[in-house]
Amino acid sequence: MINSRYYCYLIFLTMLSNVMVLVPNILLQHRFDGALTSSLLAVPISMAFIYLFTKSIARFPSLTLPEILVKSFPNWFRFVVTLPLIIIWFWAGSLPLLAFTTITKGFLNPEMSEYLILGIYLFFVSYVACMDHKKVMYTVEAILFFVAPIILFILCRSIFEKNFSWESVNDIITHIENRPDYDSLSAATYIFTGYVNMIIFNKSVKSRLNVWYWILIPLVGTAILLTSFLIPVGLLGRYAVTDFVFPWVTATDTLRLEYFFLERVMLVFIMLYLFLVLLHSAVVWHVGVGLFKSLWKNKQKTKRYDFGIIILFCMGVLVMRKYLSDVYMGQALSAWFIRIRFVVEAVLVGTLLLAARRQTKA
Amino acid sequence: MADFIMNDQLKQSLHNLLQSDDVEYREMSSDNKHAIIIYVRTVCDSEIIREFVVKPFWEIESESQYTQFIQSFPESSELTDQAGVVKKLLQGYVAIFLANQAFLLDAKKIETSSVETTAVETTVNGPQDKFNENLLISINQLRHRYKRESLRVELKRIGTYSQTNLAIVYDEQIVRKEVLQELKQRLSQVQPLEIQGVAEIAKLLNNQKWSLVPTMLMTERPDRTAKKIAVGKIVLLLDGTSFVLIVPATFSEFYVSMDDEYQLRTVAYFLIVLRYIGLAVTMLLPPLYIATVSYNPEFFRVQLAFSIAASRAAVPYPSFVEVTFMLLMMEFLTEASIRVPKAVGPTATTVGGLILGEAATQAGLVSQIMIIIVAACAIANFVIPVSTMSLAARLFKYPLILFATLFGMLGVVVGTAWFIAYLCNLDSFGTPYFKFFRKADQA
Repeated sequence: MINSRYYCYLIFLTMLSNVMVLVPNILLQHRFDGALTSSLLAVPISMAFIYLFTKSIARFPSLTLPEILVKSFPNWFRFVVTLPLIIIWFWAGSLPLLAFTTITKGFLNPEMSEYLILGIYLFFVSYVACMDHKKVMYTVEAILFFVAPIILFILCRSIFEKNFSWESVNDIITHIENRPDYDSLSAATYIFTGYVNMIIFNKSVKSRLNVWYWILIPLVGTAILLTSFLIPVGLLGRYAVTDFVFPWVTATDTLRLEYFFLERVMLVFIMLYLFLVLLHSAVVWHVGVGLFKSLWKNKQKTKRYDFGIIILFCMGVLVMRKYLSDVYMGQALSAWFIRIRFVVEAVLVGTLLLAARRQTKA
Repeated sequence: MADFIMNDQLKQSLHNLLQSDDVEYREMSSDNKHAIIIYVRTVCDSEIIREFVVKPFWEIESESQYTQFIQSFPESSELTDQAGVVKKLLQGYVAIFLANQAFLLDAKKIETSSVETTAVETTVNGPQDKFNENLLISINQLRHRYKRESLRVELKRIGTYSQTNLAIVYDEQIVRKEVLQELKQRLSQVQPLEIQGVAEIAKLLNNQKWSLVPTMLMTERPDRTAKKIAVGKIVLLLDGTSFVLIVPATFSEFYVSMDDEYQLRTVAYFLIVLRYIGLAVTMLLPPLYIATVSYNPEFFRVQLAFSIAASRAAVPYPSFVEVTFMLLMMEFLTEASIRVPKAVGPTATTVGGLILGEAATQAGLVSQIMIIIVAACAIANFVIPVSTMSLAARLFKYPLILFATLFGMLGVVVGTAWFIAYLCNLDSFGTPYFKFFRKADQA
């Protein structure tokens, strides 16, 4: 069992890696409606989810979700829960990869085939996803250690940009009286959703969070949520912000480092996010592989199974890439993913709660 | 007999000490006298013991005469403090138990002439001695730096043909049993024909056939070894080589020079950070050059991009050819300056320096910026203090160069991430190889 700070890394990784790709597009579309209200509402809702989830899973030390299901429910129930989760987890890992493939082709390597770009991403993701639980967590810690400080610097740098339009931000803030809507709420809660990866990582990561983490998670979450949503508004303007396919990329391209040998922040930003997105997809797929493996009971679960499942996942992504002919289809798919995921997440937490209840009674 | 001198506590501690293979326990008895001698072979001079303890025992008739003979040495003293016996033994005394008296005789052996100064891992302020090629002398050096009774020396023979002596040294009280178990198990599994250097053992014990980084620490410094034993690591000493192997090892240990221990704390941290920056420079500079020149020149501010382009104006081929060519030259030069006989040493550097320096740029084969990059890359490489890691780091950049050549900046990012994941995926005898905040986790 390794320290519970790794649990926190899972949450922070999801927070950081979603600043850029899936979440802000949805929030920005609803910026004049309920986006801000939903974001603020998302914090207590997500914290409640995290609390219930952590309390429930703490009753099952070093058990994965499929093992918990076997313990507390009839056998058929295991398949009912696990099968949809595998699809959701596969989806959660592949959508950011696809979105980022488009971003890299557009901004970094315009002459390279998207399949080739996707191929090299899949190489890394497959490598990490097939590693041991603990080793995956060490990788997450190591990469976050290098990348997170620079990203924080860039986020701060963007707030203190002299052309940052606080007026646009203030305008958005005035819409705080609007009623929250489901789309924005599901997008905003997605920021906090890293904790669900514990359904597999619970095998080797301690699930008890101490007080500091309970303070840190909502604070960082709120900050990241507001950053993700308000910085593009401030840098691109309240109306123009939705004219861009990837508002975050364009927003960071407005920043310049005057006193450094690099000038455009955007390229650095894309590179740093590449680390995070790849890592996030790897972690998510690692969980996906874990869930997939639990479907059949086999004592000898060797590396070969992992590779087989990962190859299946990779083929799935390539097929998805083939049929998503343009960026907007991808974004529509992401929007649907985020809507469905919110329900699934609630059901998952509910199931675990029920399992924990049964455990206490028994 | 000597029972009344040895109380239970002394017996117990002597018994503990006797677990070590280099501790001698001899009983001698003739018609009218009886003696037990105990000493640690690797710290005592057996010549002294033979001449002044064993031989006289047979030559002198009565026990009282023998006692007087022993007492006459200025180095001898009567054994009174029983608790201190083990300590004295470890310091190089020989204990002689007679019928109703016991003596300690100083028979310390310190090898001064044959111990040389460090050649590979040099320090500014620290001790300058290195291990000896004689196994017993090496253990002697180690015993002098680590005088704890729980230090165990296990002697083995390895190699079917060479029958080389191998010593496994560890502190029994703090060593991690499972690591020791695994080490012994792996050692028993390998059956090489002959072993000449300790690195060969490292290669045999490694589970991975194609490993990019060393997972066992090789050092020639007794002080480093003693420090590692004190934190529960296991040392393998091989007869015939002045290098020892320490397991398990972690990535960060390869970036610590013994000088760090003997400097101000702040200076030490500065030096450690410097070395990691050195690693980053030597690994990333050439691939970043390829990625920025051939794929993303917009990465730099425009003045810099122009000056790089201007410096490359005469170069007729893409950047990866330039980089490969120059790095190859640099590797030749490094390799040549290690291998050449000392007499022709300056030739290699002069010729190489000329080629790398002026001529290549003037001929328009490489850009001037490339020269700076190669030089920085080569210098930064040798900042890494442990030679095995430093040599391995020479290799790290090539996979990244391949990635950068094929995918540009994207390849550098994915390659670096992959390298970090690769390091995290390794372990050395059950200890995670690359891990942050290790101390916090142990607490």
